[in-house]
Amino acid sequence: MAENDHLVLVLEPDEAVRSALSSLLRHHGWRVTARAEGAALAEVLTATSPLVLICETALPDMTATAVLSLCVAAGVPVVFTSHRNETQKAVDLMRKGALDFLEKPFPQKRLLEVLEELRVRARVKQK
Amino acid sequence: MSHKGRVCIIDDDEAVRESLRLLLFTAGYQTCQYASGDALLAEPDRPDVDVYLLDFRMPGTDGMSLHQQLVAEGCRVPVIFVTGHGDIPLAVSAMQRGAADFLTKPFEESKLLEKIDTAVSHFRALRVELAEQQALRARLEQLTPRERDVLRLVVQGLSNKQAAVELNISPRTVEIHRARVMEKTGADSVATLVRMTSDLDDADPGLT
Repeated sequence: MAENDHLVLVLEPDEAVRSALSSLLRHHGWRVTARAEGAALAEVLTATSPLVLICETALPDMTATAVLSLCVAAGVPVVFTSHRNETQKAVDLMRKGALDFLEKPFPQKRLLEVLEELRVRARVKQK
Repeated sequence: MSHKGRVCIIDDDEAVRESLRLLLFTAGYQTCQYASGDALLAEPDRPDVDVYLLDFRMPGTDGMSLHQQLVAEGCRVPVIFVTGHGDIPLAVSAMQRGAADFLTKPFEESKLLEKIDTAVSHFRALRVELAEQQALRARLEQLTPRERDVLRLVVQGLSNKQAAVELNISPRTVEIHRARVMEKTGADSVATLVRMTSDLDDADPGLT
């Protein structure tokens, strides 16, 4: 388990998924803040400077596009997750600057690889 | 008579190619077509186009591989995928590779035209920028090594006196070189020089 100062922010309304995802990430050495909705996202982004946001597209209180705008403005990469078959939405979000878009049930390996890549990039930038 | 742009249609289904051709023609675009990715790649004299419309599943070189190939060649022409096979991982992958857009069938014709419009206008602006960079590169090649030295120091913000010390020549000589640099590049001020060289630097690091 690599030593890791970075925070992963998770937005996921489904309690079971949120819990499982948080466990998985913590098990791999990541610090995690997990929430069920987008409320106060702008403040959270500023206060915590996460390495990345993992966000379910179907949030109860914010559209995925709104989430993406906030994150792009804050310089935080976003990986979207979705349980719906929404190809055009995925394409749209990618075009607007999302880092990735994973269908649920998503491949854990892929998610961990994406996070690892971000961690390496962040370290290179620090040097 | 000018047209809105040139679209290259690549799809193995002739009916699809024809219906796209008609739609684009009505909307003011010129088109060319290929029945396969292989046919385009085999073309010795590739047509000058503003956007590629690619199907995903084609026999031989499929849409994804064709896109990869174009990117590897350094082709900057935008690629829009138009396909009946809208699976998310492939679409995301295409977008990560730099596709301009991705449409799954059935789609609204107006949506397609909108996306083509956007891609074409971006690409035309890019073309102008690339042409300007090319012209600037050609002008920089006209500089003598000494003039290039002076240019480098001037855009770093050195005064003529400081540049003279750096290069071990007189300030008067620096002035002369500087005047020639301005003349040859067509820049009207140091600020313009800085902008020109930083634009080039972004496109081509290490050039100056």
